Amino acid sequence: MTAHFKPESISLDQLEVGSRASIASIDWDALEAGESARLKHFGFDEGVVVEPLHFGPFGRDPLAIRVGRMTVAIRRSHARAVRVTLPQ
Amino acid sequence: MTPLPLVAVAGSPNAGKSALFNALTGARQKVGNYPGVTVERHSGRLTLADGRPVELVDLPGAYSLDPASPDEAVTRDVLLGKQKGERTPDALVIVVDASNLDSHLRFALQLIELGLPTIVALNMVDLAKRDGLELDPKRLETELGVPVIETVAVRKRGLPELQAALDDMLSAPRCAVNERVPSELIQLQRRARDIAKAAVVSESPTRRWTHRLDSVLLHPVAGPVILAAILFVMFQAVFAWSEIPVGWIESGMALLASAATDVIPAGVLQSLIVDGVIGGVGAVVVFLPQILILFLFILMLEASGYMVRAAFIMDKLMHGAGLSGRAFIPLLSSFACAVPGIMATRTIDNPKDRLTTILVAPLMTCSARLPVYTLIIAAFIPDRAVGPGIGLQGLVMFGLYVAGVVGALLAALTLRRTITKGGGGRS
Repeated sequence: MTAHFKPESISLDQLEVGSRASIASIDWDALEAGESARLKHFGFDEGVVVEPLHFGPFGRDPLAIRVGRMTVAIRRSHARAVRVTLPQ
Repeated sequence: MTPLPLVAVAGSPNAGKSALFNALTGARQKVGNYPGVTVERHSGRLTLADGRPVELVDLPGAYSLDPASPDEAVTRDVLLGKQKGERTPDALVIVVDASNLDSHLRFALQLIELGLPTIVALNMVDLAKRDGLELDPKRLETELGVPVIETVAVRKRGLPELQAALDDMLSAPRCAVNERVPSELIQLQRRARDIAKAAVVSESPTRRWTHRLDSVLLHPVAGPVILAAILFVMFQAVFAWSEIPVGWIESGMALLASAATDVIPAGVLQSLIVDGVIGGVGAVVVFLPQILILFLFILMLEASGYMVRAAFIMDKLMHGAGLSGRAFIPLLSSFACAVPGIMATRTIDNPKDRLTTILVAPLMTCSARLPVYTLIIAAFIPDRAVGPGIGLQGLVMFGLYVAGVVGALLAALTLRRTITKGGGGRS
């Protein structure tokens, strides 16, 4: 087994309500231009702390995510492009 | 003739950059084009306190100096002095949104690194205060190393201070442009967050109660039930609350008609006034209370912020029909009138999503159709209760609206598979 220096990362859509995690990486190419611009504007970036607050009633989609002082809604399919790491 | 000193206004989108530019330059603006690209160049003239004129140019909004769009490329090129047909700016005003410092400061830091004489306009401080966020501009000034001026561009607050700072800046001798290697974006982001944290004097958790409210309003079970209940109450109210004012209008019209009959001698003119004008206008005016109640509800939902929650709840279902949750607001507004509803679709950024929403919006029952429904229901549906507080007529009305919604969703689905195929909605 090799030692892993990188902490385990999961995608944002796997994060449960109320658990805070910081963004490890964002696959901007997996997002449409409009959506990636929207996320950039909301301050989605590596190192930013995010916290899911609510899930939509149908298929737990979309997700209401707290980022900084804002709460923003993003779809589960888009949240998959965002990798987050849970605090140790 | 030496050219006027050129001051560039830069910032991230939605920082209120253009509002500040407009407030500073007033009506004296020129809209041109940058050569070779379809990006508009907005410039205007500003007169400083000592009468010195300055040319102000409003650069396209950008998130960083690594361009993601032609607009952002223009911003970068102008600032680096590489844009054809543009001088290198003599000074820079960076506009940042006070409530969104984390992300806006990153770009600001990147711009400050360029080494141009720079002022930071800490904009929309009123909104930040309202949200319980108190900032220390002096601390921000020490951290950034450039003057920071608090502004509220839309209320023209902080503009004299900004002009004075600009005056000082342009009077001072020019320092050499920085040749330092630009920092990595991620480092800038981290520094931006640290600075933003340091500049916060107090941050009250005003969002606590809205969060508690949201856990009910957006609850997986309670949320949709509340939404359906609100819509149901809305349509019941359109019927029930309007009865009394409709009665007033009807008796008022009857009084007016009998008065006109008494005054005007019997004949063609009397018939024209009584049956034509009073009767005709009266038949339309009786629906005014219903339309007003509907508009009142839509306004209240919009102003209270519930409309956004409704969009959140509905997104998945709308998505199933190939629409965006953002289409919910335009479609709900189409209950009042399809025209403002269609105008509201401009918030949907995907062009195919937007076209589909525009095409189905007129299928939603608009308020002008309400009189027709009312007339038909009054004629064919008996006015009796089917349960406590639930009238049969209101129920049928609700059903007609639901039919409109279902029709619109089916049409959207069909359009999404034919004319507006691909892209956006079904990703």
